[in-house]
Amino acid sequence: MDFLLTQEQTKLKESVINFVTKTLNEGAHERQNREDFYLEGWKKCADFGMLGLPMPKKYGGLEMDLLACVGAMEGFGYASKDFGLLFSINSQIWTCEAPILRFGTEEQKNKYLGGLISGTLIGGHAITEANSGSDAFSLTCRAKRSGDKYILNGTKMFITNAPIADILLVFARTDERKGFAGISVFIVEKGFAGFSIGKPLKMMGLRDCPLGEVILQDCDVPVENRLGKEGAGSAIFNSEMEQERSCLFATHLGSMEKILEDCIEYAKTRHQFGKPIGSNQGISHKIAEMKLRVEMSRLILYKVAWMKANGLRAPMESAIAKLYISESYVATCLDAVQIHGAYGYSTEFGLERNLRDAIGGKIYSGTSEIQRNIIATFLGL
Amino acid sequence: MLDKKEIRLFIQTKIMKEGNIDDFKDTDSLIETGIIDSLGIQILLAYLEKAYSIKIADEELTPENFENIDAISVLVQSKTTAIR
Ligand SMILES: Cc1cc2nc3c(=O)[nH]c(=O)nc-3n(C[C@H](O)[C@H](O)[C@H](O)COP(=O)(O)OP(=O)(O)OC[C@H]3O[C@@H](n4cnc5c(N)ncnc54)[C@H](O)[C@@H]3O)c2cc1C
Repeated sequence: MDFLLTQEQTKLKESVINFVTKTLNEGAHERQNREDFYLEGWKKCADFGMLGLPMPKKYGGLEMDLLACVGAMEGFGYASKDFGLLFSINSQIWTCEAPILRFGTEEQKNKYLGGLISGTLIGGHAITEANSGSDAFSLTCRAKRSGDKYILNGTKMFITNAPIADILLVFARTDERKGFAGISVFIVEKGFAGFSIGKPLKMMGLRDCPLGEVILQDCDVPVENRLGKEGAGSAIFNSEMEQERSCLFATHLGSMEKILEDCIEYAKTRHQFGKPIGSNQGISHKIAEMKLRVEMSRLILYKVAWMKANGLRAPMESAIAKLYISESYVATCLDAVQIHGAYGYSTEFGLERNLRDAIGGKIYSGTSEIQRNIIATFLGL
Repeated sequence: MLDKKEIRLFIQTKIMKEGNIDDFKDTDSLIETGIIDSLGIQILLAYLEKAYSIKIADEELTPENFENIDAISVLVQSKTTAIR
């Protein structure tokens, strides 16, 4: 058993920290206030290789194994002041590139992966609808076959990257009788007739990550744009969620580590009643709890990444990781605000922003309650 | 031949929340009857891979391979034969 990243993985993580610190953070605070997507930053990330971390070299990726990706994303989360950009990028990698790589035809991979990795295309996935969130497979968007195309009708909600996306993987029902097994996935290009985006949605956090509504009105999609077989929707969804739950949350771990360091520093240097606030157990124990969360999160995250890198299934383990890390992140952000007092509560220092961003993590990729349901089901309950 | 009884027993004891698997034929749809949902497939999958020492790819998790007990046993059979 080895609990450490290899030298090469550690180097990659350090180079990500360097890259993000030097090139991505400037102006992040203002962008978030303006709710501006940082397209230039997206391109810089593409040039660095972030958008193709786990993708084969053949399509322009870095072909890193999942443990290396987790290390890199941990570094990204540690150094970044721009969680919106980071979230946008991760959504594209795990819910658009990864399914195309796994389920796509060679033509689909050749057509889309290169652009997604090099930053000339932006992608995402669209399953959620106004009336189907946690119960994702109750979706009502329909895809009807008509000769060599499908006609899609429906509306999708809360879709990450929708306002800026060139392609979206849209989940739609192709067989009414088969419930979860009657869902198929389509690669829909923004230029397809009948495809449009509603107004961008205003959210509590991740404000420079564009989220929107997707409208499909008699949208024509060529048959060759179906991803996987008819009815493969739930397999595609489960596969992408397992990867996202394993990797996206590495950014939360990185951020928790940085917040921990900042809190230690603050607790040593902020004096009240003639002594550092960190000399009070009320503060030092909060920091000890933060450390505990960082260590436990790392253990479960690396375990899941190791399982995935070794070709093992990890549906329950990735649910455990997602649940524990996202909830730990919220708890850590709350503690950090408390430790910093009014400075933590002020919008100047970014700690309240961390908290707003963190809360989203308990909702996207399946809510905390749904992760608990998954764990319980695997335990036979 | 693969013993379908084992698969039936697993579905009855680990997946079905109510009802009796004996009321269903090997050709009855597990999906349309609601016996299996998307999490149920994952649980069944983990069992099949372990019990029969096989690997089923995500791409193979299509309705035709999991539609009914017959389809599942054909899939498993094709894998175990390939191993031998
Ligand atoms: C920042 C962000 C980005 C997102 N990006 C995307 C995206 O790119 N693509 C996409 O398709 N979707 C996206 N979503 C949507 C997301 O997947 C859904 O919000 C999520 O699945 C929950 O659905 P809901 O919001 O409709 O809540 P609901 O499903 O209505 O749930 C409401 C509450 O009830 C609880 N609940 C529901 N069912 C149960 C149950 N069986 N047991 C216990 N509790 C239950 C939930 O946990 C929650 O607390 C995004 C959401 C956010 C916040």
